[in-house]
Amino acid sequence: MNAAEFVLEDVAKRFGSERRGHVAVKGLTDRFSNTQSVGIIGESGSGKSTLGRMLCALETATSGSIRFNGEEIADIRASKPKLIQFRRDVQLIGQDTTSSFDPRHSLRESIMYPAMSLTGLSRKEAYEKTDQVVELLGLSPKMADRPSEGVSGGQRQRFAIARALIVEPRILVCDEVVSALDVSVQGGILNFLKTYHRDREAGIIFISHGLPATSFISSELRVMFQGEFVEAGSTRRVVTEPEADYTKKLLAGYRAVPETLEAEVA
Amino acid sequence: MTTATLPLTAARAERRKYSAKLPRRRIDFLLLLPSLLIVLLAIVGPFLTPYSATTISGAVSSAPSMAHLFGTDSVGLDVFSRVIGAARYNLVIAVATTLLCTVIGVVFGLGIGWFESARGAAGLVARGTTRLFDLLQAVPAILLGLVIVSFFGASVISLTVGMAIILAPIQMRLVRIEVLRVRKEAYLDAARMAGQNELKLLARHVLPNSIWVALENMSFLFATSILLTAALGFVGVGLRPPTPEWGSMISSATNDALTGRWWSAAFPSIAMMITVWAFSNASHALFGRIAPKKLAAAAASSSPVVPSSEAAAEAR
Amino acid sequence: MPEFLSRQRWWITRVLLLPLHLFVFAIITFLLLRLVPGDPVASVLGPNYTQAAYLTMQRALGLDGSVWSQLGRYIVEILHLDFGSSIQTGRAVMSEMGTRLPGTLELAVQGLFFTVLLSLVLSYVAVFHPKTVLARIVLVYSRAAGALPEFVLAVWALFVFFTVLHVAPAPLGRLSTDLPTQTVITGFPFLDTLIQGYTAGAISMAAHLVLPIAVMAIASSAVVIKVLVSSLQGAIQDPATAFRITTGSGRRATVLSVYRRAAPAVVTLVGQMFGYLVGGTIVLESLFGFAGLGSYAVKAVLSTDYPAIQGFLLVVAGITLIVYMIVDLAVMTVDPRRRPGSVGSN
Repeated sequence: MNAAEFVLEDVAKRFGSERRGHVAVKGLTDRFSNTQSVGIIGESGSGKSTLGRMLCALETATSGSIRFNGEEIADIRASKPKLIQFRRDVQLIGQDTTSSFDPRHSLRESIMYPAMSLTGLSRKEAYEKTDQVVELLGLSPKMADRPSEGVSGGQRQRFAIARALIVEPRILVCDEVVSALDVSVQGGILNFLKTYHRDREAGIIFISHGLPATSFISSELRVMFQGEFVEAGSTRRVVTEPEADYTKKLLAGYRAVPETLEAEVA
Repeated sequence: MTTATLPLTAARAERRKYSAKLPRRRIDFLLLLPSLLIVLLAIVGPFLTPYSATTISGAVSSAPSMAHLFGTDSVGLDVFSRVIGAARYNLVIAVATTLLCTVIGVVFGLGIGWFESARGAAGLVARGTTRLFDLLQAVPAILLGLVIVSFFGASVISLTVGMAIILAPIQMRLVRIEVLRVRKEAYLDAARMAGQNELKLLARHVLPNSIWVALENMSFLFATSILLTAALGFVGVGLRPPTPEWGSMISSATNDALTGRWWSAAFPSIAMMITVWAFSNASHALFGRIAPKKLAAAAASSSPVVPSSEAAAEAR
Repeated sequence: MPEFLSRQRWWITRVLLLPLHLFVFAIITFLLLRLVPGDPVASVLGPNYTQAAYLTMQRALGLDGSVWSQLGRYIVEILHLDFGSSIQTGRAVMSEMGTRLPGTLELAVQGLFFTVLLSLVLSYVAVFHPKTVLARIVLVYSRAAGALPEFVLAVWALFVFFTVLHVAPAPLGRLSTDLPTQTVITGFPFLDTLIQGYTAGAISMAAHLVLPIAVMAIASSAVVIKVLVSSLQGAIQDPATAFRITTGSGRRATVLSVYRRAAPAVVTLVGQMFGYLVGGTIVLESLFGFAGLGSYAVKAVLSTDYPAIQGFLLVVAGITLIVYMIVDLAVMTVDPRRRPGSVGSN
């Protein structure tokens, strides 16, 4: 298992022109490796999804530098073999939406594609590997022959995970992967991801607006507010001794709910 | 290295065995039947009709009889033979126009939708082209057709090309809106993560998911081009008589109808309506109900020359 | 003041765009027409002419010099609202338009009015009383949109109501031939009879207008009904309707609110229908013997009459673009999300 590491230095991203544009992310400096599971938490519009897309080389930074295993993302994007290797190492799982799979393809077709184009498997090998990965996620391979609208949201999200895992990536960027799912379904997926991280030493960057799921899965936390990390540290430290005002407010929000509930019961 | 053919077929067999394609939808041949019959009639009809479509065959304006099933028109041409003979011209023009304007519309719609919010030259060209198309649409189709067709002479080719230019913006606009929608779909990012370059992305995902609006609209365009051909024939710039064409037949039969000789106008218009109906069924059988689920309620497009597309692009 | 400007920017830019669009349109049509084969100078002079006569005529028609210097002169002319004179008749294009356009416009507007009226009534039946026989007929009819061209309908209508039943007047113009012609005030024929209180004329004109307007309304309402029905059904599904019903609004108020929410799509379509109806009018005019833009356009096109073609294209495009602009502004006023730059716009 080869190591993989992101190094970010003063990364900023602006959409639109210099005058009227909107700054989504600014001044991010950090490191993420395949041994870590890092949670990035923040409200919608805080720039966390933009960060995720930049880490996946779907978006380029306006300034600063993002390096993966020592290579600039911009250089990786410019070279086809480098990009293919990068896609084998880093994969993205997005929020479950009805559009996470092309409605005109079977789920199997969508899952086989990265196996063939990135890892160079033959059609037969990709077909069989799809069965394995799908079973790993607790789904029946037969179900994979359906179109994406033929399965439930939780099942579809497992297929999306299968599509990312079929290339055995070193780092998984999970952007709001459970936010749209029922709580009962969330647990299964979170447990799977946690186990996968521990057993395969695959890094997880878990982007979410929900604290419980994030702190369950990640040992490190970054709190993002208006495009910046306002707090960074181990999950335990951030949750028990928050330093930034925004983090305190965020935690207070979560504490307030059970307290009022208790008050009402009493 | 053995023979070249053996591994090829083996590879094909393996591809079939491990294919992951969704089953193709079934085509309802019953819906296709009327249009196939009409096409057949257009091909073999002129060999079966009793008279020539372009030479005088009897008395002027005689009512339908055994000799002249649909009667004769004011010049003495057999209406039955002309109605059948016109099917060729009208079908060829309408089918060719529909296909041509769909191809033009899809290519432009795809390019414009994809590059519209891009920076630099590509974005400028895309936005400029949209505006030009919009401006062109400010003139009613019949007037534009009048100008284009009359300048290039009335022939099957100039009618087809002229009408395709006029109707292409309709397809372009439909496809463009779909492309703007598809562009935001999560499966495009997933495909990028699977290592597809932008060109493959367009071919494998964007085109198949946005072309259906244009395909579904083909029945409307088929009808429109039949009617536009006829209308151009009606105002006098269509195919020259005695070339049989339903529109100009109706137009020259107007005076007959006003004096009570209904047949020379009635039969071509019935033929026209049956054809439009048959081909709209065919188009429904071939391309209907292929919209991705839940997306059918694509917002009604805004009127031309409206800057809302920019807002949509900015919002991205 | 700057704040006022930035808040009102959506309609100010929209209004300012109109002359720019027209200007670009004029230049494009000018250049495209020059690409077309045909020599108007030769066609005016006839088969026998001398070199000197050719040059004089070329100068008189403004066709001398390079295409670009012609374009320069043309731009200066249109900025002074001068569209030149027809090569064939020698009359100023602007004054020809002034006499022919109002009749065409009036017919198109009347057709549009009855199209909308018919569509509103029939769509109400189809959407709010879906189980009736009439509703089924309306739906089938709206699905057949485009299968009935208006001039075929018109020929049939004339056959039935004029030839067979003798209830419609002869298609030989707007007024019965035995009535004296009216004086022109606004140029809009029907409006003029009303203004002058010329009752016999108004009645005769109305009788002549029944068939063409009915034909237009029947032919073009199918498309409007189709869109209206689908956007009404969309608006009924909207949570806002459930909100209305649960908060105890009456049926009337609920139905009205559904119509209001369905309005933007339909208003946009009606704007587009206007251009379509102007096109339809041109065909119907020739069938019913009305004087109007249609015959002028056909004559101009057949004789390669550059100024006349440019003139009528520019005038028709101008009117259509003004209608589009009004529609846009109306929609943006009703629904601020449709204003450019607004957050929710899509």
